[in-house]
Amino acid sequence: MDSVASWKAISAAIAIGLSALATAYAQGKIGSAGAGAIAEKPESAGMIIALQALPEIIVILGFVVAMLIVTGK
Amino acid sequence: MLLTMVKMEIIGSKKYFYQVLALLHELGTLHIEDLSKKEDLFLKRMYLDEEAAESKKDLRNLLTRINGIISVIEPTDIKKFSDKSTGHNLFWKKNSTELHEDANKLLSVLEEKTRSLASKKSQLELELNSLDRYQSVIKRIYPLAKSIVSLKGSETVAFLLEGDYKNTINVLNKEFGKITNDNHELISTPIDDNTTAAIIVFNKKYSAKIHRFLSSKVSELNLPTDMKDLTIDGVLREIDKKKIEYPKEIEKIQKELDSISKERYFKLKAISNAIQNKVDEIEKVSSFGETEFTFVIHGWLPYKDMPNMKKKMNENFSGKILIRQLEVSTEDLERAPVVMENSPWVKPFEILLKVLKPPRYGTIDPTLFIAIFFPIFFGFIVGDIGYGLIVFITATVLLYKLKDTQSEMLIATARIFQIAGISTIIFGFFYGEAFGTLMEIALAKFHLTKMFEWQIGAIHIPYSRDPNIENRIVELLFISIGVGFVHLVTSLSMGIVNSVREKSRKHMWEKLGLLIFIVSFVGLIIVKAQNIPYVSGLMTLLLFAGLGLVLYGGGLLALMEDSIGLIANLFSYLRLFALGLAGAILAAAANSFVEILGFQVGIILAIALHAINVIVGTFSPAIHSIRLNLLEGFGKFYEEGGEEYKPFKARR
Repeated sequence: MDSVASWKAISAAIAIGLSALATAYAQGKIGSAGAGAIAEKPESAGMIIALQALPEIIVILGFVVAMLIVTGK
Repeated sequence: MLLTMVKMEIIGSKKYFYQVLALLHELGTLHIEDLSKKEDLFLKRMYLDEEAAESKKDLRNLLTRINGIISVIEPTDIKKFSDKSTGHNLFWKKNSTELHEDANKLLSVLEEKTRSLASKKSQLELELNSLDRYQSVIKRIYPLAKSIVSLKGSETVAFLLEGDYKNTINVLNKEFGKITNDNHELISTPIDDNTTAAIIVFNKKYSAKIHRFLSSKVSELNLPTDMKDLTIDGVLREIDKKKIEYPKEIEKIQKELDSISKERYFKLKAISNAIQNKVDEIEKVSSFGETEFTFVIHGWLPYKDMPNMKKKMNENFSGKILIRQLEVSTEDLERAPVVMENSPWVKPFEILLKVLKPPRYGTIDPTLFIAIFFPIFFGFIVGDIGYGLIVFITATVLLYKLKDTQSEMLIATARIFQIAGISTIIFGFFYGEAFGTLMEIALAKFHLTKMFEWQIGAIHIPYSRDPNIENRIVELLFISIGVGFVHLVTSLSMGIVNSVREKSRKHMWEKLGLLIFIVSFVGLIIVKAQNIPYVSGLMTLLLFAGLGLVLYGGGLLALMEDSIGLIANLFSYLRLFALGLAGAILAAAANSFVEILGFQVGIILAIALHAINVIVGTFSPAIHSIRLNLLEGFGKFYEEGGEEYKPFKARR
């Protein structure tokens, strides 16, 4: 594998890896706070689940950047 | 759209007050304004007289008793009851005294009977539940009990140690030794991971001390009174017998309750609603005003309902009640309730607005906006014929199953996903995707690819989301931003309209400035990219003009925050492309399992991955579509602060 391809691979991995970590951290915080909120107020479950889904755009965009790196010339 | 509301005043002699109140309650269109804070020289707050207060107390008491019976005989499946309207019309027109009499008649027949049946049933159910527990414990301690020799003058007590205390048996043994001077026998056995059973045999003279000690430390195994004198074998036999008898008795009681329910449930419900209506009417009194001889009611209702209200008042009171439309001030408009009326395909989207406060009266109803853009965003992201069909069919089946329920939220959600499913199918044709690349593979196999290709201008359909196609990713990026641009321009335009309606000039200039700014910003990028001569100067001028208007309308903070925020909002629409591409790649990966692993293994994995993709691909795009509308879209025009329309309406 030439050096350009290997650097592409490393860059793509960093792009998606770091954004996945960030998403995991954010969703972990939301999840644990949300669990407490639902325990006190069960009717807020729908809203909490929706909020839980919001940070996943971070990893999706990281994936897109990785795709751009890998498929770019 | 938001309906036009009118403010009405109703004045009449106090002798007609309760009749007018009952009529308003029946019509159910007037949102009553609280006049208690509007006292002036001639108008005072209305208070309940003693008779009305006493009547309210009695009615509340009756309501509690009737609802108690209803909770006991509530049928599990109302659909099986053929005549749901029984009794409703009997009570509708009755006054408090008549309702009182009817309620007491029903209660005298049903109250005692249902109470005793319900009490007996719950007692049997409680005992039945505890019998299982006794049985499992006794079966475990049976070998223990057999090994104990019961002497005359001795007492045997069984107890349980649970949770953290199950390892304290040695400590307990020492304590028993202190009480009985070591004249006792203690044996134990585990029941489950969390419980240990133990039996202590001791001289009866220590009974009181042992029981006192046990009651403060552990759970004594107290058998039902009728089993206390039986042997362990006898207890087990009695438990088996009761486990057969009790369910039969419970079923018999339930049948009796069901027959009462069939005969009386809807009548009780009707009288309960009628009494609750009367209580609501009496409680509303404090919202009205009065003079020495007249009552005064102020309220709001939709303009279209005004003729009917005037007609009913005249019919029932032959012109003795004055009903007129009041002129509204700016202050009144801030308190005007808001009613939305939308076409059947737009109406379901009203539930998405429930997370916000109602829009201010006089502003644009945002429901149509979200009804157009939510399906577009959803379809743009998912864009798959197969997935779209699954979403549409699932939503349709759900609607069919929900047709008899009262759950507006679930029905509206199902309708939203029906519409979103159709949009997904349309975008699926645009992208040429059905379960990812499956359609492409199938068409290629049967040489039908050319049949499903079109050219619309420069766009070649199907417009595949394959990232390996040159420049495709960048094109999709720009298309997403383009969709976002249209969304933002629409919302800013609606913001300008709202500012004009609210007569807020500064707000209007700010929104106009932001609109010019974003149009010229995007225009400048296109002009520079395409190298169009002469226009870039004009675009730059417009850009600064827009910023100038923002500064004039909103100040320095608006200039810094809103204009930069608008650029950030624009790039937020990249999620449309990102989520969509991720879903498409996942679907393609699912199809590749068949090629890599062979048909038999590959198809199972492919179906599993497609199933996950459908579930995630429905939930996530829905969340992000809602978020784009509520945050990026509504942030530019939505004016919160309206009052919810709560008409004074009778229960039926």
